[in-house]
Amino acid sequence: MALFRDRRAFPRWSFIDSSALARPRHAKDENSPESVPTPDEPMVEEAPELEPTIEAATPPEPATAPLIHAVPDPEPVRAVAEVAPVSWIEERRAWFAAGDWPTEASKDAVQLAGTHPDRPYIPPVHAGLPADGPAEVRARHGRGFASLTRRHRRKRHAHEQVQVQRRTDIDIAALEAALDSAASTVGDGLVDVVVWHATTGLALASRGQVSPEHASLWHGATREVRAALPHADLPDAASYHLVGLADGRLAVLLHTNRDLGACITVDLDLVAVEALLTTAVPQLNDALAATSREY
Amino acid sequence: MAPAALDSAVEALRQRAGDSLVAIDIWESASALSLAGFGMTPATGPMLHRVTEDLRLAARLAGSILDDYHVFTVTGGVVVVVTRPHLSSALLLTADAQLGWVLSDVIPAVRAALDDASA
Repeated sequence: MALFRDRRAFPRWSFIDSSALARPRHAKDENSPESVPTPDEPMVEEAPELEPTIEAATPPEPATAPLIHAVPDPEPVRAVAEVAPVSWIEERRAWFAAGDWPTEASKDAVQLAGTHPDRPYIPPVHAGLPADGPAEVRARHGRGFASLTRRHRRKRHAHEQVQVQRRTDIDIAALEAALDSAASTVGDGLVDVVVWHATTGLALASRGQVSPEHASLWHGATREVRAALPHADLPDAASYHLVGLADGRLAVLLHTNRDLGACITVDLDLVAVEALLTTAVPQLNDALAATSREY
Repeated sequence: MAPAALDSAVEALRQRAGDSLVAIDIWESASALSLAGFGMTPATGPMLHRVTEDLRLAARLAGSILDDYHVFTVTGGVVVVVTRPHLSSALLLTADAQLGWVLSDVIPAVRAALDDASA
Protein backbone atom coordinates (compact mmCIF):
# COMPACT_ATOMS: atom_id res chain seq x y z
CA MET A 1 0.00 0.00 0.00
CA ALA A 2 1.24 3.44 -0.81
CA LEU A 3 -0.09 6.84 -0.08
CA PHE A 4 0.33 9.27 -2.90
CA ARG A 5 -1.09 12.59 -3.89
CA ASP A 6 -3.51 12.29 -6.72
CA ARG A 7 -2.89 15.06 -9.22
CA ARG A 8 -5.64 14.21 -11.62
CA ALA A 9 -8.31 16.47 -10.20
CA PHE A 10 -9.11 17.94 -6.86
CA PRO A 11 -6.15 17.55 -4.49
CA ARG A 12 -6.68 14.44 -2.51
CA TRP A 13 -4.88 11.53 -1.10
CA SER A 14 -5.43 8.09 -2.39
CA PHE A 15 -4.31 4.64 -1.51
CA ILE A 16 -3.00 2.25 -4.07
CA ASP A 17 -1.65 -1.22 -3.79
CA SER A 18 1.93 -0.70 -4.81
CA SER A 19 2.55 -4.43 -5.13
CA ALA A 20 0.24 -4.48 -8.10
CA LEU A 21 2.12 -1.74 -9.95
CA ALA A 22 4.44 -2.56 -12.81
CA ARG A 23 8.03 -2.90 -11.70
CA PRO A 24 11.01 -1.56 -13.67
CA ARG A 25 12.62 -4.18 -15.90
CA HIS A 26 15.98 -4.52 -14.13
CA ALA A 27 14.86 -3.78 -10.66
CA LYS A 28 15.10 -6.59 -8.25
CA ASP A 29 12.45 -7.25 -5.78
CA GLU A 30 13.92 -6.43 -2.45
CA ASN A 31 11.56 -8.81 -0.81
CA SER A 32 12.35 -11.72 -3.06
CA PRO A 33 14.15 -14.60 -1.30
CA GLU A 34 17.09 -14.67 -3.67
CA SER A 35 17.94 -11.06 -2.94
CA VAL A 36 18.27 -11.60 0.78
CA PRO A 37 21.45 -13.30 1.84
CA THR A 38 21.19 -16.05 4.29
CA PRO A 39 23.07 -15.75 7.57
CA ASP A 40 25.19 -18.77 6.64
CA GLU A 41 26.80 -17.01 3.75
CA PRO A 42 30.30 -15.82 4.56
CA MET A 43 31.40 -12.33 4.06
CA VAL A 44 33.08 -11.89 0.72
CA GLU A 45 36.05 -9.71 0.17
CA GLU A 46 36.38 -8.10 -3.18
CA ALA A 47 39.63 -6.62 -4.31
CA PRO A 48 39.29 -3.68 -6.60
CA GLU A 49 40.84 -3.99 -10.04
CA LEU A 50 43.61 -1.57 -10.85
CA GLU A 51 43.03 0.85 -13.61
CA PRO A 52 45.40 0.51 -16.59
CA THR A 53 48.24 2.98 -16.34
CA ILE A 54 49.04 5.40 -19.09
CA GLU A 55 52.40 6.62 -17.87
CA ALA A 56 54.83 4.06 -16.43
CA ALA A 57 56.66 6.74 -14.47
CA THR A 58 53.72 7.53 -12.33
CA PRO A 59 53.69 5.32 -9.30
CA PRO A 60 50.60 3.33 -8.87
CA GLU A 61 48.24 4.46 -6.31
CA PRO A 62 48.19 2.41 -3.16
CA ALA A 63 45.64 -0.23 -3.12
CA THR A 64 42.63 0.68 -1.20
CA ALA A 65 41.29 -1.37 1.56
CA PRO A 66 39.12 -4.20 0.44
CA LEU A 67 35.40 -3.52 0.60
CA ILE A 68 33.60 -5.58 3.07
CA HIS A 69 29.93 -6.12 2.49
CA ALA A 70 28.27 -6.59 5.77
CA VAL A 71 25.69 -9.24 5.67
CA PRO A 72 22.48 -7.68 6.99
CA ASP A 73 20.20 -9.39 9.31
CA PRO A 74 17.69 -11.40 7.38
CA GLU A 75 14.35 -9.68 7.13
CA PRO A 76 11.39 -11.95 7.44
CA VAL A 77 9.66 -12.44 4.19
CA ARG A 78 6.26 -10.90 4.27
CA ALA A 79 3.52 -13.37 4.20
CA VAL A 80 1.41 -13.54 1.13
CA ALA A 81 -1.71 -12.96 3.19
CA GLU A 82 -0.41 -9.56 4.31
CA VAL A 83 0.37 -8.43 0.83
CA ALA A 84 -2.98 -9.46 -0.54
CA PRO A 85 -5.48 -6.55 -0.50
CA VAL A 86 -8.05 -6.70 2.22
CA SER A 87 -11.58 -5.97 1.20
CA TRP A 88 -13.10 -3.40 3.49
CA ILE A 89 -16.58 -4.66 2.73
CA GLU A 90 -15.65 -8.26 3.46
CA GLU A 91 -14.08 -7.17 6.70
CA ARG A 92 -17.29 -5.39 7.74
CA ARG A 93 -19.37 -8.31 6.66
CA ALA A 94 -17.35 -10.59 8.82
CA TRP A 95 -17.72 -8.15 11.70
CA PHE A 96 -21.44 -7.94 11.24
CA ALA A 97 -21.70 -11.71 11.07
CA ALA A 98 -19.91 -11.95 14.38
CA GLY A 99 -22.65 -9.86 15.95
CA ASP A 100 -20.54 -8.26 18.66
CA TRP A 101 -21.12 -4.62 17.79
CA PRO A 102 -23.02 -2.37 20.23
CA THR A 103 -26.63 -1.79 19.33
CA GLU A 104 -27.41 0.87 21.91
CA ALA A 105 -25.62 2.99 24.41
CA SER A 106 -25.20 1.46 27.82
CA LYS A 107 -26.50 3.28 30.88
CA ASP A 108 -22.99 3.94 32.09
CA ALA A 109 -22.09 5.42 28.76
CA VAL A 110 -25.16 7.65 28.88
CA GLN A 111 -24.32 8.85 32.36
CA LEU A 112 -20.74 9.49 31.39
CA ALA A 113 -21.94 11.50 28.43
CA GLY A 114 -24.14 13.66 30.64
CA THR A 115 -23.14 17.25 31.27
CA HIS A 116 -23.56 17.17 35.03
CA PRO A 117 -21.32 14.99 37.18
CA ASP A 118 -23.87 14.18 39.90
CA ARG A 119 -27.26 14.80 38.48
CA PRO A 120 -28.52 11.76 36.65
CA TYR A 121 -29.04 12.37 33.00
CA ILE A 122 -32.49 11.52 31.75
CA PRO A 123 -32.43 11.14 28.00
CA PRO A 124 -35.36 12.80 26.22
CA VAL A 125 -38.00 10.59 24.81
CA HIS A 126 -37.36 10.13 21.16
CA ALA A 127 -40.50 10.74 19.18
CA GLY A 128 -39.43 8.31 16.55
CA LEU A 129 -39.94 8.54 12.86
CA PRO A 130 -43.21 9.99 11.55
CA ALA A 131 -45.93 7.49 10.94
CA ASP A 132 -46.85 9.10 7.62
CA GLY A 133 -44.82 8.47 4.56
CA PRO A 134 -42.53 11.12 3.10
CA ALA A 135 -44.90 11.76 0.20
CA GLU A 136 -47.79 12.50 2.53
CA VAL A 137 -45.68 14.72 4.75
CA ARG A 138 -44.35 16.56 1.71
CA ALA A 139 -47.87 17.04 0.39
CA ARG A 140 -49.04 18.38 3.72
CA HIS A 141 -46.10 20.61 4.58
CA GLY A 142 -44.77 21.34 1.15
CA ARG A 143 -41.17 20.35 1.65
CA GLY A 144 -41.28 17.23 3.71
CA PHE A 145 -39.09 16.94 6.71
CA ALA A 146 -36.94 19.90 5.76
CA SER A 147 -39.76 22.30 6.58
CA LEU A 148 -39.70 21.22 10.19
CA THR A 149 -36.44 23.00 10.83
CA ARG A 150 -36.38 26.74 10.83
CA ARG A 151 -33.03 26.86 9.12
CA HIS A 152 -34.39 25.29 5.98
CA ARG A 153 -37.66 27.19 5.94
CA ARG A 154 -37.92 29.37 2.89
CA LYS A 155 -38.55 33.02 3.57
CA ARG A 156 -41.74 34.06 1.87
CA HIS A 157 -42.46 37.51 0.64
CA ALA A 158 -45.00 39.82 2.19
CA HIS A 159 -48.03 39.19 0.00
CA GLU A 160 -47.06 35.80 -1.32
CA GLN A 161 -49.74 33.16 -1.00
CA VAL A 162 -49.28 29.48 -1.29
CA GLN A 163 -51.10 28.23 -4.33
CA VAL A 164 -53.24 25.29 -3.38
CA GLN A 165 -54.81 23.43 -6.21
CA ARG A 166 -58.49 22.86 -5.55
CA ARG A 167 -60.22 19.82 -6.84
CA THR A 168 -63.97 19.88 -7.09
CA ASP A 169 -66.51 17.36 -8.14
CA ILE A 170 -69.68 18.76 -9.72
CA ASP A 171 -72.67 16.47 -9.72
CA ILE A 172 -74.17 17.02 -13.16
CA ALA A 173 -77.25 14.95 -12.37
CA ALA A 174 -77.99 17.12 -9.33
CA LEU A 175 -77.35 20.17 -11.50
CA GLU A 176 -79.96 19.07 -14.00
CA ALA A 177 -82.41 18.36 -11.19
CA ALA A 178 -81.83 21.85 -9.76
CA LEU A 179 -82.59 23.42 -13.12
CA ASP A 180 -85.75 21.34 -13.46
CA SER A 181 -86.86 22.45 -10.02
CA ALA A 182 -86.17 26.10 -10.84
CA ALA A 183 -88.04 25.83 -14.12
CA SER A 184 -91.05 24.36 -12.39
CA THR A 185 -90.96 27.04 -9.69
CA VAL A 186 -90.71 29.99 -12.08
CA GLY A 187 -93.22 28.54 -14.49
CA ASP A 188 -94.01 30.08 -17.83
CA GLY A 189 -92.10 33.24 -17.08
CA LEU A 190 -88.76 31.47 -17.39
CA VAL A 191 -86.98 32.48 -20.58
CA ASP A 192 -83.75 30.58 -20.08
CA VAL A 193 -81.36 29.50 -17.39
CA VAL A 194 -77.75 28.48 -17.78
CA VAL A 195 -75.13 27.30 -15.31
CA TRP A 196 -71.42 27.70 -16.00
CA HIS A 197 -68.15 26.79 -14.45
CA ALA A 198 -66.94 29.85 -12.59
CA THR A 199 -63.29 29.31 -13.46
CA THR A 200 -63.56 28.62 -17.16
CA GLY A 201 -66.98 29.98 -18.11
CA LEU A 202 -67.89 26.67 -19.67
CA ALA A 203 -71.64 26.01 -19.77
CA LEU A 204 -72.53 22.97 -17.70
CA ALA A 205 -76.31 22.81 -18.02
CA SER A 206 -79.07 24.96 -19.43
CA ARG A 207 -82.77 25.25 -20.12
CA GLY A 208 -84.37 27.27 -22.86
CA GLN A 209 -82.80 28.73 -25.97
CA VAL A 210 -79.23 29.28 -24.89
CA SER A 211 -76.38 29.73 -27.34
CA PRO A 212 -72.98 28.27 -26.47
CA GLU A 213 -71.42 31.71 -26.04
CA HIS A 214 -74.24 32.86 -23.78
CA ALA A 215 -72.65 31.43 -20.65
CA SER A 216 -69.15 32.66 -21.37
CA LEU A 217 -70.39 36.19 -22.10
CA TRP A 218 -72.30 36.49 -18.85
CA HIS A 219 -69.43 34.84 -17.05
CA GLY A 220 -67.02 37.43 -18.42
CA ALA A 221 -69.33 40.29 -17.54
CA THR A 222 -69.73 39.00 -14.02
CA ARG A 223 -66.01 38.82 -13.57
CA GLU A 224 -65.60 42.35 -14.86
CA VAL A 225 -68.17 43.65 -12.42
CA ARG A 226 -66.63 41.90 -9.46
CA ALA A 227 -63.17 43.08 -10.41
CA ALA A 228 -64.28 46.68 -10.86
CA LEU A 229 -66.07 47.10 -7.55
CA PRO A 230 -62.97 47.53 -5.37
CA HIS A 231 -61.73 50.25 -7.72
CA ALA A 232 -65.11 51.98 -7.41
CA ASP A 233 -64.65 52.19 -3.63
CA LEU A 234 -67.61 49.89 -3.10
CA PRO A 235 -67.83 46.74 -0.98
CA ASP A 236 -67.29 43.32 -2.49
CA ALA A 237 -70.01 41.86 -4.64
CA ALA A 238 -72.49 39.47 -3.05
CA SER A 239 -74.58 36.77 -4.68
CA TYR A 240 -77.08 38.49 -6.94
CA HIS A 241 -76.81 40.83 -9.90
CA LEU A 242 -80.00 41.93 -11.58
CA VAL A 243 -79.62 43.19 -15.11
CA GLY A 244 -82.57 44.76 -16.79
CA LEU A 245 -82.97 43.74 -20.40
CA ALA A 246 -85.16 45.03 -23.16
CA ASP A 247 -88.64 43.69 -23.78
CA GLY A 248 -89.38 43.56 -20.08
CA ARG A 249 -86.91 40.84 -19.24
CA LEU A 250 -84.73 40.54 -16.21
CA ALA A 251 -81.49 38.57 -16.02
CA VAL A 252 -80.48 37.44 -12.56
CA LEU A 253 -76.80 36.60 -12.40
CA LEU A 254 -75.87 34.31 -9.53
CA HIS A 255 -72.44 33.92 -8.06
CA THR A 256 -73.14 30.68 -6.29
CA ASN A 257 -69.68 29.85 -5.06
CA ARG A 258 -66.13 29.64 -6.35
CA ASP A 259 -67.07 26.90 -8.77
CA LEU A 260 -70.44 27.77 -10.22
CA GLY A 261 -72.20 30.75 -11.70
CA ALA A 262 -75.63 30.97 -13.24
CA CYS A 263 -77.93 33.27 -15.12
CA ILE A 264 -81.68 32.99 -15.03
CA THR A 265 -83.66 35.17 -17.38
CA VAL A 266 -87.35 35.78 -16.73
CA ASP A 267 -90.15 37.72 -18.32
CA LEU A 268 -91.28 40.40 -15.89
CA ASP A 269 -94.75 40.39 -17.40
CA LEU A 270 -95.27 36.80 -16.29
CA VAL A 271 -93.21 36.60 -13.13
CA ALA A 272 -93.63 38.46 -9.88
CA VAL A 273 -90.26 39.95 -9.01
CA GLU A 274 -90.77 39.71 -5.28
CA ALA A 275 -91.59 36.01 -5.41
CA LEU A 276 -88.77 35.37 -7.81
CA LEU A 277 -86.16 37.02 -5.63
CA THR A 278 -87.43 35.63 -2.34
CA THR A 279 -88.24 32.06 -3.38
CA ALA A 280 -87.03 30.81 -6.73
CA VAL A 281 -83.62 32.44 -6.87
CA PRO A 282 -82.52 31.47 -3.31
CA GLN A 283 -83.69 27.92 -3.90
CA LEU A 284 -81.75 27.72 -7.14
CA ASN A 285 -78.69 29.21 -5.46
CA ASP A 286 -78.79 26.68 -2.63
CA ALA A 287 -79.40 23.77 -4.98
CA LEU A 288 -76.48 24.78 -7.16
CA ALA A 289 -74.20 25.20 -4.17
CA ALA A 290 -75.04 21.66 -3.08
CA THR A 291 -73.95 20.18 -6.40
CA SER A 292 -70.27 21.06 -6.10
CA ARG A 293 -68.14 19.27 -3.61
CA GLU A 294 -64.48 19.78 -2.87
CA TYR A 295 -62.38 16.71 -2.31
CA MET B 1 -77.77 71.29 -17.19
CA ALA B 2 -78.11 73.53 -14.17
CA PRO B 3 -76.45 72.56 -10.91
CA ALA B 4 -79.63 73.47 -9.09
CA ALA B 5 -81.51 70.86 -11.09
CA LEU B 6 -78.96 68.22 -10.13
CA ASP B 7 -79.20 69.18 -6.49
CA SER B 8 -82.95 68.98 -6.62
CA ALA B 9 -82.70 65.53 -8.21
CA VAL B 10 -80.44 64.37 -5.41
CA GLU B 11 -82.81 65.75 -2.82
CA ALA B 12 -85.79 64.12 -4.49
CA LEU B 13 -84.07 60.72 -4.48
CA ARG B 14 -83.05 61.17 -0.90
CA GLN B 15 -86.61 61.74 0.11
CA ARG B 16 -87.82 58.83 -2.02
CA ALA B 17 -85.37 56.27 -0.75
CA GLY B 18 -85.58 57.44 2.82
CA ASP B 19 -83.25 55.95 5.36
CA SER B 20 -82.17 53.20 2.99
CA LEU B 21 -80.12 55.60 0.92
CA VAL B 22 -76.47 55.63 1.92
CA ALA B 23 -74.81 57.32 -1.03
CA ILE B 24 -75.66 58.63 -4.46
CA ASP B 25 -73.71 59.78 -7.45
CA ILE B 26 -74.85 61.37 -10.68
CA TRP B 27 -72.52 61.53 -13.65
CA GLU B 28 -72.69 62.52 -17.26
CA SER B 29 -73.36 59.51 -19.46
CA ALA B 30 -71.02 60.57 -22.24
CA SER B 31 -67.91 61.41 -20.23
CA ALA B 32 -68.60 59.61 -16.92
CA LEU B 33 -67.79 62.90 -15.18
CA SER B 34 -69.32 63.10 -11.74
CA LEU B 35 -71.65 66.05 -11.38
CA ALA B 36 -73.50 65.68 -8.08
CA GLY B 37 -74.07 63.37 -5.19
CA PHE B 38 -72.79 62.49 -1.76
CA GLY B 39 -71.11 59.62 0.01
CA MET B 40 -69.24 58.29 -3.02
CA THR B 41 -65.75 58.92 -4.26
CA PRO B 42 -64.96 60.37 -7.70
CA ALA B 43 -63.87 56.91 -8.86
CA THR B 44 -67.29 55.36 -8.36
CA GLY B 45 -69.01 56.99 -11.33
CA PRO B 46 -66.39 56.15 -13.97
CA MET B 47 -65.99 52.59 -12.76
CA LEU B 48 -69.72 51.90 -12.73
CA HIS B 49 -69.98 53.52 -16.12
CA ARG B 50 -67.39 51.11 -17.43
CA VAL B 51 -69.12 48.17 -15.78
CA THR B 52 -72.37 49.18 -17.43
CA GLU B 53 -70.71 49.33 -20.82
CA ASP B 54 -69.27 45.85 -20.27
CA LEU B 55 -72.71 44.54 -19.42
CA ARG B 56 -74.18 46.25 -22.45
CA LEU B 57 -71.59 44.60 -24.69
CA ALA B 58 -72.12 41.17 -23.13
CA ALA B 59 -75.87 41.45 -23.46
CA ARG B 60 -75.62 42.49 -27.10
CA LEU B 61 -73.29 39.61 -27.93
CA ALA B 62 -75.61 37.24 -26.11
CA GLY B 63 -78.49 38.35 -28.29
CA SER B 64 -80.17 40.73 -25.85
CA ILE B 65 -80.33 44.45 -25.34
CA LEU B 66 -79.46 45.99 -22.02
CA ASP B 67 -82.15 48.10 -20.47
CA ASP B 68 -81.25 51.25 -18.59
CA TYR B 69 -80.68 49.71 -15.16
CA HIS B 70 -78.88 46.98 -13.32
CA VAL B 71 -78.79 46.16 -9.64
CA PHE B 72 -76.18 44.19 -7.81
CA THR B 73 -75.87 43.23 -4.22
CA VAL B 74 -72.70 44.00 -2.33
CA THR B 75 -71.59 43.22 1.17
CA GLY B 76 -74.01 45.08 3.40
CA GLY B 77 -75.90 46.87 0.69
CA VAL B 78 -77.45 47.12 -2.72
CA VAL B 79 -76.13 49.21 -5.60
CA VAL B 80 -78.59 50.49 -8.17
CA VAL B 81 -77.24 51.84 -11.44
CA VAL B 82 -79.55 53.68 -13.81
CA THR B 83 -78.30 54.93 -17.15
CA ARG B 84 -80.24 57.49 -19.12
CA PRO B 85 -79.21 59.17 -22.38
CA HIS B 86 -77.70 62.26 -20.73
CA LEU B 87 -77.26 61.43 -17.08
CA SER B 88 -76.55 58.31 -15.13
CA SER B 89 -76.82 57.62 -11.45
CA ALA B 90 -75.80 55.09 -8.86
CA LEU B 91 -77.46 54.65 -5.49
CA LEU B 92 -76.05 52.70 -2.61
CA LEU B 93 -78.86 51.35 -0.44
CA THR B 94 -78.71 49.41 2.77
CA ALA B 95 -79.00 45.64 2.77
CA ASP B 96 -82.54 45.66 4.12
CA ALA B 97 -83.85 47.27 0.94
CA GLN B 98 -86.18 44.86 -0.82
CA LEU B 99 -85.18 44.21 -4.40
CA GLY B 100 -88.81 44.17 -5.45
CA TRP B 101 -89.28 47.64 -4.01
CA VAL B 102 -86.09 48.74 -5.71
CA LEU B 103 -87.24 47.52 -9.10
CA SER B 104 -90.80 48.76 -8.82
CA ASP B 105 -90.36 52.03 -6.97
CA VAL B 106 -86.80 53.33 -6.72
CA ILE B 107 -85.68 52.80 -10.30
CA PRO B 108 -88.66 54.60 -11.86
CA ALA B 109 -88.04 57.48 -9.47
CA VAL B 110 -84.41 57.68 -10.51
CA ARG B 111 -85.40 57.68 -14.15
CA ALA B 112 -87.78 60.53 -13.60
CA ALA B 113 -85.29 62.54 -11.59
CA LEU B 114 -82.53 62.15 -14.16
CA ASP B 115 -84.81 63.07 -17.03
CA ASP B 116 -86.02 66.13 -15.18
CA ALA B 117 -82.48 67.22 -14.37
CA SER B 118 -81.27 66.82 -17.93
CA ALA B 119 -84.25 68.55 -19.49
